[in-house]
Amino acid sequence: MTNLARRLPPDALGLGLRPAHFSEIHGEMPDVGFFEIIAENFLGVAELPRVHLDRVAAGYPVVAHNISLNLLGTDPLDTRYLERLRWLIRRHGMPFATDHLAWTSSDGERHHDLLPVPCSASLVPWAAARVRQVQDALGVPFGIENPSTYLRFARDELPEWEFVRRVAEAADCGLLLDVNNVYVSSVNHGFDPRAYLAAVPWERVLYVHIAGHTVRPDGLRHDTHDAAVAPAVWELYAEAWRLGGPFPTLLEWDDRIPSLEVLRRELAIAVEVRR
Amino acid sequence: MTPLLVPPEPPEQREPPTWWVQLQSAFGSWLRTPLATRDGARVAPVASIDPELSAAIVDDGPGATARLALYHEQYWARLFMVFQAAFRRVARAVGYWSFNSLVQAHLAGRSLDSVDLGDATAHFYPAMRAALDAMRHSPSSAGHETSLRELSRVGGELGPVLGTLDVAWSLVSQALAVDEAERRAYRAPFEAAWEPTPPEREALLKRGVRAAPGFSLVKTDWSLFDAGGSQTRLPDPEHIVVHRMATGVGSQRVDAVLARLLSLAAKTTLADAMARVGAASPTVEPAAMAALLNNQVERSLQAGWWVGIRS
Repeated sequence: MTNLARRLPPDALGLGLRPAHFSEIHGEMPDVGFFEIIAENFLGVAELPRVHLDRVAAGYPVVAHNISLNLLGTDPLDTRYLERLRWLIRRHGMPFATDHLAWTSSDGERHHDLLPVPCSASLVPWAAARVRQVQDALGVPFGIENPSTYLRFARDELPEWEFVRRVAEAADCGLLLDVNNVYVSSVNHGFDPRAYLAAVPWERVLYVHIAGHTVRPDGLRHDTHDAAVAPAVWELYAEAWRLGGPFPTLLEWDDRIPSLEVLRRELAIAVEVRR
Repeated sequence: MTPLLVPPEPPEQREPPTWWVQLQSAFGSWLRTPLATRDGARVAPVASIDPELSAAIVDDGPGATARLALYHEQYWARLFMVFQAAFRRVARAVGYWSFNSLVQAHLAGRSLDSVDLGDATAHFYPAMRAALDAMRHSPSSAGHETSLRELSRVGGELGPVLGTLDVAWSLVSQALAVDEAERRAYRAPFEAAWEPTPPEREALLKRGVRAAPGFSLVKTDWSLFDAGGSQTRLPDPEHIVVHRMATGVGSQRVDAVLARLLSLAAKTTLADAMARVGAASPTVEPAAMAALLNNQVERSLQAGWWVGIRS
């Protein structure tokens, strides 16, 4: 193991590391630029996921993505979890860590979901203080991700992109830009996704997420990560590349997970789209 | 991080806005409310949305209620999925609708305070075991395939749901045991195979074995290890070892002799266990039985099922 961060090539193509692919990765060492872990899945009581991660991290750069740091929550940050996460990051020389600009617990109860936040200027200092605390605790650059959202609040004062930018600047942190989430939220709330991309502070973008989503009967787009990337999202990705590329790109696929070969073919589309 | 032209103001806020604390509390509280049933489907309990929460949401497109409902249904769908993965045989045995009802009943009033979503399932096994055992000891319990709804004692948080099911008690009970064995093995640390020295072998005979963490021996007369997922009665019971391997969880069928040896070795000295297994098979030549048992001991050691001497 190394304590030195394993930097990603600026145009690297990566995949979310899922147990369904452990044996295929160990056996075939597929040509993947990097893997992203959902860190919570590797810090529990069970050591088995860490056994597999050790093997993967010996051959690939790995980055730590989180879903429960509760950045916009009002419960205290979980310092014990942050200590364990820092240990994992150092163990595998991860170059950075990320989580969503969302809240995931309240009143001591974990909701294990990325819950929406009012885009209110009055929340920026609170969010920035928490992000800064996390970044300091982890000892590596930290990025905030724009989540998919399904509702807006009466207290919204800023466009989401402005809210995200203000938090990132106040915390002096990075961004994990999820292009699929931009698209999903743009349809759900009726804003122009290209206006969103135009406002992204690209110098802060650590890497970009792409994923599939579904359309519900009520018309809402649902960020399900269970399908191929939608054509409209590829178009948006091309625009993102034009505005801010090169950047590392990560494909998320979490349900109805296909073979590694299918995922790699999906990544190959990214290369085509960039041209 | 690339320096900015204008350095950001240092964030100094130590307390969140009060309105945000209240809004989260109302939102979170509603999320944890169990799903309602309408027209044969589980739906978000929109009637119980706090009016202040509802008023905080912009009512456009499909409406504030539909938008909130998506979060509620997503919250419960994730929990159901985790429980169905951890207790897949039980879910298959009772059916996914009933299983989800059990999960909702189990989680009512229970705190989910772990970062690890898998920890949400930690108390399901003892709750189900207690409910099933209470039903088995009921005076009305009869044959092996007596269904749960024929049994009368249906106490505890899960009893009311279990008491409605036309599923054999033995199938649910055994499915639960196998699922829990796999869950325990998954969470157990791995210990490499133990090669006892001659003095340790002597001590083993006089004291007894320490099983590997996560080792379980289960007996079932239902086809619970069928790759296709069918759950049918077997002509004869099977004994299966579930154990943690270096890179996963394994299961292995063992014959009745080894199963008895493994079971007794966990309770008494190995010498006594071997003697009792031998005595239970009077038709086998003593020398042949001794050779067989010695082979079984070696197999158990090499498989990593026994990893030391019991203290």
